Amino acid sequence: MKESIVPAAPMAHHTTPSGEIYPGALNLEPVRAAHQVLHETRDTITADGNTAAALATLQMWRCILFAGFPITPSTKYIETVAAHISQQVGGKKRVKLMEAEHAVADYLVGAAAACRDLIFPTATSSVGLDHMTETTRSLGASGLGNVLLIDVYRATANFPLCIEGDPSDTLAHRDDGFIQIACRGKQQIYDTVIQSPCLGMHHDVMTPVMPGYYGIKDSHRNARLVVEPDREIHAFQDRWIKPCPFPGLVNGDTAFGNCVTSRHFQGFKVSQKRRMDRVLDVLPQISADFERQFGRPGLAFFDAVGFGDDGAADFAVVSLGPDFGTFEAVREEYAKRTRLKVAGIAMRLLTPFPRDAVRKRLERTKAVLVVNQAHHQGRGHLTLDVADALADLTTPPRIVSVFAGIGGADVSEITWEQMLDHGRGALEGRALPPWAVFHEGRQL
Amino acid sequence: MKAPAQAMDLQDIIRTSVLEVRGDGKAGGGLVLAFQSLASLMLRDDDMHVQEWPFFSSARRGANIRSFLRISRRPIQAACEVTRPRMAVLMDEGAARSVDFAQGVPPGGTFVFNTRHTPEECARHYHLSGRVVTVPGDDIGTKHLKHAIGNVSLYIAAARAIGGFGVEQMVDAFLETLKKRRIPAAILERNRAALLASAESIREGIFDEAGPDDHPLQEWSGYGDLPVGAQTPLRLSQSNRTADYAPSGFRLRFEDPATACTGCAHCITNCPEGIIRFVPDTERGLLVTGVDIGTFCKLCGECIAVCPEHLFKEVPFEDRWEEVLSS
Amino acid sequence: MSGYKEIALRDSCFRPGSTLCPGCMESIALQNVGRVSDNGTKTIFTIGTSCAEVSSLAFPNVVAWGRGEGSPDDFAKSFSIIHNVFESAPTLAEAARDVSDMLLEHGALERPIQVIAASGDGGALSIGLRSLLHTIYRQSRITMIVLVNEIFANTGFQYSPATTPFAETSTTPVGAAQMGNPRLPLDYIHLSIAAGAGLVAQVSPAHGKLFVKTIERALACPTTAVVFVPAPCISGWKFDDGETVHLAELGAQCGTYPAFVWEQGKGGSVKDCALEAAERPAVEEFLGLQRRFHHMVQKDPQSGKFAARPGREADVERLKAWTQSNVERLYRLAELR
Repeated sequence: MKESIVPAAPMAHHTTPSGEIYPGALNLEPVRAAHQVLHETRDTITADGNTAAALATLQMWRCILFAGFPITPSTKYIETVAAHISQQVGGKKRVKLMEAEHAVADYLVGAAAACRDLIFPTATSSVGLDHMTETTRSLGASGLGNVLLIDVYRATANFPLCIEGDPSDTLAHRDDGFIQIACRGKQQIYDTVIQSPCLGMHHDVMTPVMPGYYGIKDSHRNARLVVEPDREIHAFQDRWIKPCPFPGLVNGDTAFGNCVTSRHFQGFKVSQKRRMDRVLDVLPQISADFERQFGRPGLAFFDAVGFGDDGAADFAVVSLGPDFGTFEAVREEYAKRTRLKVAGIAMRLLTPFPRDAVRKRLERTKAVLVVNQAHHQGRGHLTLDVADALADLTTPPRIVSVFAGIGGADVSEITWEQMLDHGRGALEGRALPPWAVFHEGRQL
Repeated sequence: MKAPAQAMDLQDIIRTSVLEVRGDGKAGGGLVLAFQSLASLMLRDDDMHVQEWPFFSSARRGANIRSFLRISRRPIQAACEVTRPRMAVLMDEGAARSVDFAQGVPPGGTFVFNTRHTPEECARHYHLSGRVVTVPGDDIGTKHLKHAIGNVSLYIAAARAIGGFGVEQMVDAFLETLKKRRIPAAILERNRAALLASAESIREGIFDEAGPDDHPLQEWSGYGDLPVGAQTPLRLSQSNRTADYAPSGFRLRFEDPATACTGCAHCITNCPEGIIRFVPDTERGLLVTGVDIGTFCKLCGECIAVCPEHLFKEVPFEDRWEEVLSS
Repeated sequence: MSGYKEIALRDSCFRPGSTLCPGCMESIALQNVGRVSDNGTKTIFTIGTSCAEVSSLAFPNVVAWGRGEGSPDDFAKSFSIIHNVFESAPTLAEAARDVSDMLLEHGALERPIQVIAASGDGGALSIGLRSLLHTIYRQSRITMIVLVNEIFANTGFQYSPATTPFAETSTTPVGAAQMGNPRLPLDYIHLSIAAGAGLVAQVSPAHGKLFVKTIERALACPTTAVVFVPAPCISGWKFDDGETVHLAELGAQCGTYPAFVWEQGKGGSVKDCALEAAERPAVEEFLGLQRRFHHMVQKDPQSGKFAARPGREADVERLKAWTQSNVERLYRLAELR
């Protein structure tokens, strides 16, 4: 029979609304010290989107445990992570290959709750994200802002199956409660992943982040990427990421995941919504700090092009993703030819939708062409968001809604010009259908 | 004793608007069955409309539950909770310890009790103004159904209080609900006997014992400070008085005058709540000194079953009311 | 003092005040697990959606968990519990285990952590079979407790893959065309052994000393320990007050869920359940105490014993044959190393 157990020296603890926290239980300095540096200096490399995302997470000292499961087109994320970790002799970082995306999501909950000051990332797509749903809808409300769930956009589901990229998966998860940020181009992917945990773990926000980028058009194309030295990334993140004010499983005396009745549930959802709203204040602060340190733009509500100093335009495009780049390539020529002031915004922050900022940007535009790239039963998710943002204006711009690029369909320069011509009809007072579809340079 | 107040005419309310009924009881006590039967009774009149539903928490046996019933001659549209019932039903007096079953009932409303107490005693104990109807349901249940379950009687008393139907119709509606739950024929017969006996045992009166400060409607003052993600501290169950789950009228008693306890510790390790008190004894093991029955004992009976020396038993216990003692 | 009694002196992390039914075996089991785990090592508990969870983790005022009266100064007595979704208890536990171990390895954490997961048979063998088997397969160093009441109790007592044949549940009701559950239960013990568990047991607090000893061995297991706890459910099986522990013992002795402990490399044994049917209590006696088998047996007024109802003799024989094969299978599994 065991001898009676002698209790160890008492450990200091203090009370929070979510239980007791024992700050002395964990000291993460050894974790920071154990990080093996990937880049000592700023370097320029070629990389595809998945590699950019993977590198960003590998360079963070707080990412030590990478759970994953393969699904096209996000698989190269976990493969890249696994390849690096397999080379780190004496390294302590680990890859955890789970049996299903649902298992990955549950694992992230357990890990993030166990230590709330480390960051737990993964990448998935489409039906993989859907398989996680009961847990993503829980994570969104949980306060576990240290989960980073990268969505490599891919047309959702089946009948038929399609492995190419459109944002329908992320838009289907709009109200899971995650902060959703779209990226286009390798640099934005890399930079967004670095800034995301600063936003999610901010004490006013405490909401997990879902950065996303297009499958195939961004995940599988190589381009120039500037990678920062690990030490610079750590300095930046350390300025923003402070110890979690609430207990975790390891350092706490606490209960997570309680149940409530209708008497209280609505109140929890209101609190969750208010924390989400704080993103609109916190994101610009993080972005400004990023730009100060790294010399290039940080997170943004959207990328804008073609608006003059007075903010006016005849005609503006609203869309997101790499296909917006094709619009940027034809814009000046098109504007010259038609003698119109043509501008555009590519959304970056999708959830919470920055309606005030969108309204301010577009209030001096006469007509707006919204290019939706995800299946929707009506005029399009993005159209509804833009229409809502502009609804409070006394004379809102006319909104023209189109669909193009669904399932990763090519959106050529000619297709863009066709859509712009279609949208111009609004300036000429033409009656236009609620929505139209464009493909291969033709309106369908 | 004050002058009797006026009682509302429930049939009139059914004709001109909507009669709202609310019941309080304990899970497993048959409140839901009684309300389902009341609803099905009302529908024997082709022109009646009903809306009936229970409100549960996650608990099953012993915890407080509520049932709601709306009755009208017009189609019922409202979907909200019943907060100002014209009729309040109390299936189990134990349920009244943690909830004000009379809250929101306007003066002159009807109160129906499963209790041995008289209507007058109930009116004075609970501060009620209106019509008070009582039936000793647990005793009738024990006599006919071998179980101190008062819902059969309470159903009859409530049906009588609402009015509009004869005893045979009331009996049929209840038995029909039982048949849907696949209760065997022999038990149906015993239920019939209990229903008929209940019809003969109802007492009622009209009283005016409520003061202006009695049964206030609670003002909702907001959700309070909600913790992020509903993550909470531990040990909150101290305020959940689960001793109310024990069947009303009984409690556990531990008696060991001869120190017969062998120190085997089986009761200690088999108590679901962990509320057996004991002291370690180097020779015999763990000697039981008592049970913390006041707050948490649900009277599950496991200690009664496992003790080799039979030192635990269930004893009758009655809350003594001042109103009874003083009259 | 014996280990069993010494353990009864400890602080359980499962508190009174849950909304579980009076006499619930899950409550008894968790009380005991809570005491055994008060052993100088901090515990992290994960729990799947189940009666145990909704009845002990409600907000605002039922959190029936926590060790000691106030937040302990002794870190080893501090306690955490997490619930996510139905099937996630093993995965949450695996994550807590991996993170704790990595933090220890880094020198970021100095104190060891023990991790215990709990689910019902619905959560572990039906929707959660994937999570259970993969956590075992990955040899995660956790203790997994499966509370087997043979139903999805929390949602209203529906059939589960552990339901005894012929049992009436709300989705396998007894009617003119059907005699309760038409299926044989899943062989969850064999599956757990095959998936690579380090310890597999089936035992309830009715075998008190064996139960606490098994939990101790489970907490010391270097890989995954899975303990199935037969949990008679008073509301689902419909029996009288005070019969929970008795039915847990009787069901084990008659062969429905025999007590069994097995460890990898050592083999195991069936306890308190003879291989010969004649040496075991009659299955009919077990059935007769529960209204979920009311259609199968009735009490003979003269002998006072339970026997098949007229017309159900063949079904009772089939149930007894299954029980015999169940016992024989466990004796064979005991011989695996």
